Amino acid sequence: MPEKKKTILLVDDEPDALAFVEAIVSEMGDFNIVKASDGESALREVRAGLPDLIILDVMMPGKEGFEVFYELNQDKQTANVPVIMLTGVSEERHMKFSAKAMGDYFGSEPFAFIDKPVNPEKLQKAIQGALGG
Amino acid sequence: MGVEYQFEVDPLYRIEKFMASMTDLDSLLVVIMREATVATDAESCSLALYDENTDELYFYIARGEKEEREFERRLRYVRMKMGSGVVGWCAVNRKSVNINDVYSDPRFNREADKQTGFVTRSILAVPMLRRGKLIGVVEAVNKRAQNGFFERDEKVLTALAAQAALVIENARLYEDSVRRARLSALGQAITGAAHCIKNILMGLDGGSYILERGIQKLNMESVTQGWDILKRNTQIMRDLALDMLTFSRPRDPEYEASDINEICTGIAQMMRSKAHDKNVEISLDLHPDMGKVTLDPKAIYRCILNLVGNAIDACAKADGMTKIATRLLREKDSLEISVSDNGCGIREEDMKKLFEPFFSTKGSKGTGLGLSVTHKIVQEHAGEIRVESQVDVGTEFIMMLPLNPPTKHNSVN
Repeated sequence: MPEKKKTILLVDDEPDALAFVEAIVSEMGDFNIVKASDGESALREVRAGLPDLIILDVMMPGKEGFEVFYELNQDKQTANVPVIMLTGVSEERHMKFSAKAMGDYFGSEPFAFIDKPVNPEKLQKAIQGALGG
Repeated sequence: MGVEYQFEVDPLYRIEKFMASMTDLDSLLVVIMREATVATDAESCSLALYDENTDELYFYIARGEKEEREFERRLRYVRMKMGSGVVGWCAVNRKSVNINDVYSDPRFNREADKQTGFVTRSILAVPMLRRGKLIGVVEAVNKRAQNGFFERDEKVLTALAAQAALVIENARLYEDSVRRARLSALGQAITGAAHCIKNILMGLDGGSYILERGIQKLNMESVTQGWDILKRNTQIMRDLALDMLTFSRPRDPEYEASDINEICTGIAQMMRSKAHDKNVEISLDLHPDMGKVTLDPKAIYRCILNLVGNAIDACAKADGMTKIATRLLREKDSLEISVSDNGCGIREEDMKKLFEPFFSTKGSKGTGLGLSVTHKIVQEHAGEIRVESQVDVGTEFIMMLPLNPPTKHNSVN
């Protein structure tokens, strides 16, 4: 039975970063790629149609990545979607949210944290893990 | 007894009043030395500082006379070894010394008198100590109309020496805290620059990844996309380097008689296509028949370009409007250049940090230095820049430049 194409939602305010992640994802196979350039539109896309994976940038103007993650966890339906977070700030307050702390605070943890500039192999491995599991 | 006590306290009281109003170390020390001269009824008082690094003493305030400043400045280069002369002895032994007839005291160094022609009769020297550390020595020279200084004079001079030591310690602590603040600011600037560079790296990595895949698969679309991203990010890198250089170095404006309206028109024309891509209209409201004004055209061009770029980004939505305006305000002797938009506005809490280096609300779009550089250029023109903004209504940046700027001669630094 042919498997339905998986949908991956990419969220990043930087168009160049979005293009980069899209290229990395396309290399892995045939996915239905949906793009959003801010937190609000990302949440809208999720409510319109549940993706199989969300790749979410942390530093965004307006609704930050963490805020989006928190809201996703509020709703039982959206809470099950695996999330890979991309962070450009490896020190400071963003890293204070270690995966465990996020678990305590948000009720669940993102599947993975990937540092920017993104290492394509690392991201692809994380995507495989998030979708495979 | 009562009168004596007052005589001792008065100079201290006067100095306290001065300390509250003065911050310049030299001025404070001169005041203290003057008080010492009067209080001990000496011909003059001097202050020598101890240099920890070289274990030497040097006169910092000589004779307590402002007119002697040039003499003092040169005297600061004269170094005395610890232990040499009365001042040196006082410093080494950390004890006051009161000598009525210096020429009969082996500690006295006759060389200074020989060189200056001054005849020293009596010396009262008191060490300046702070928390057990030697700061230097204060000395009173030639008690008037008497053979030598009294015990009372030693008490007064000791109290004033303590004041001087306190003042010097405070000045050094202040210098330390300024240095630390500067280092911390430097640290923050480097972090900000590193963040911007990381974003550029992301762009370069992304662009080359896409370009390489395109070449491998002979896909022209990917090749073009990748190349565009590479070009864009190398431009951002260039902008960042230029901004950092401009921001870090003080620069006198290269004044020229300039046609500011022409500059604004040029910028509007150049930015029009970028603006249209974001649904933004650029309009001009220029003061008619302005003629030429004195400013640095390249620098002001950068300022206006930065402000217009920000404005377009802020109102990039439907019906976005950016306006560049110029006004000649003869009554205020100034030129007003303003850039306004009907965009997202600036939040109250962001207003204070607006001109800080690498503070940005645009995410990774700019270098983070645009406004800092703009602010710096306006200041170097002896001008002012102010902001008026309302969230979701719009923002206006107003630069006021003097029509007759102070002409500083160009300094080589």
